[in-house]
Amino acid sequence: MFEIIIVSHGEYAKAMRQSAEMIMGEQKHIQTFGLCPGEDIDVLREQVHGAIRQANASGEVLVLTDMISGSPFNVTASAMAEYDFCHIAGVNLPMLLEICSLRGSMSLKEIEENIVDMGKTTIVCVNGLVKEGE
Amino acid sequence: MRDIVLTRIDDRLIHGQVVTAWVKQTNGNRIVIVDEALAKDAFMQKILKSAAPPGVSVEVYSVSDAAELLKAEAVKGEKVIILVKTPQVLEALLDAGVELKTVILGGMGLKAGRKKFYKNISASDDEIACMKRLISRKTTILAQMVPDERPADISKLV
Repeated sequence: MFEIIIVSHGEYAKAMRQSAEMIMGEQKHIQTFGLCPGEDIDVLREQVHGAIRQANASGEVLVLTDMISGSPFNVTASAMAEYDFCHIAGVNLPMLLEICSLRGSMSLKEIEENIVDMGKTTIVCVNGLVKEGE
Repeated sequence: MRDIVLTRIDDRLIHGQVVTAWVKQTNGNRIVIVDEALAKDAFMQKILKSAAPPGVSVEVYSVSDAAELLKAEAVKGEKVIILVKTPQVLEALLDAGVELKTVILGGMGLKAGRKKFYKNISASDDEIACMKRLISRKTTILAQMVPDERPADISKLV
């Protein structure tokens, strides 16, 4: 089972894990990191690079960041020159749930190929759905 | 001089506050990052360029290259956002002949050698001294993380 590392602004990563566990029960091999106001970005960089390095030594790694171009994205992207891992930006809760439920049976490569399209299908205007159904 | 709509000190350079708030508020469409280390890092430049918000270009320059670019004639429709990590880079741009009337101090995180001096903004003694020199050269420095926040004049804080 590959390692999941979630990196976010503030408590979002940690809370996303907790919310996923509320739905699916305890999940192993997930680490979370957050950048809080006033914190040094270099500290987050060291933490994230260290976690990727360590997880990479024993297997494959998927890093999920909360938003493209954000600082959590930037520190993760800067590790991509050095380490081989999958980086998906813009993660939401349905994507995390899907990854957790598939990672026992699917390879990281297969998940990487499908998760972005899958994520897009989880964002819907419900008013539009209601209209369609009428 | 180019049409500079925002000059911002922020040790995170491009990040959430910049792309979601400042780009929209200023309508900036050309982000010029001035940073010696990043100017030599082709990999991160590629990431920053490809992750740029739609309709916005991102370029990274050393101080001397940035000064040449910024002093050139304004281009119609082009709105430049300058991002630097520290006030020292702005002082170097001033020395190279770039005009900087107002600077937004957006973020300098707490790290070794720095002390908190306004909200979540920290600075070292050297950085404070540098900001004082910038102020004495008629550059206004305003602490303001996001456009909605009321700006605070740094000349009253240092």
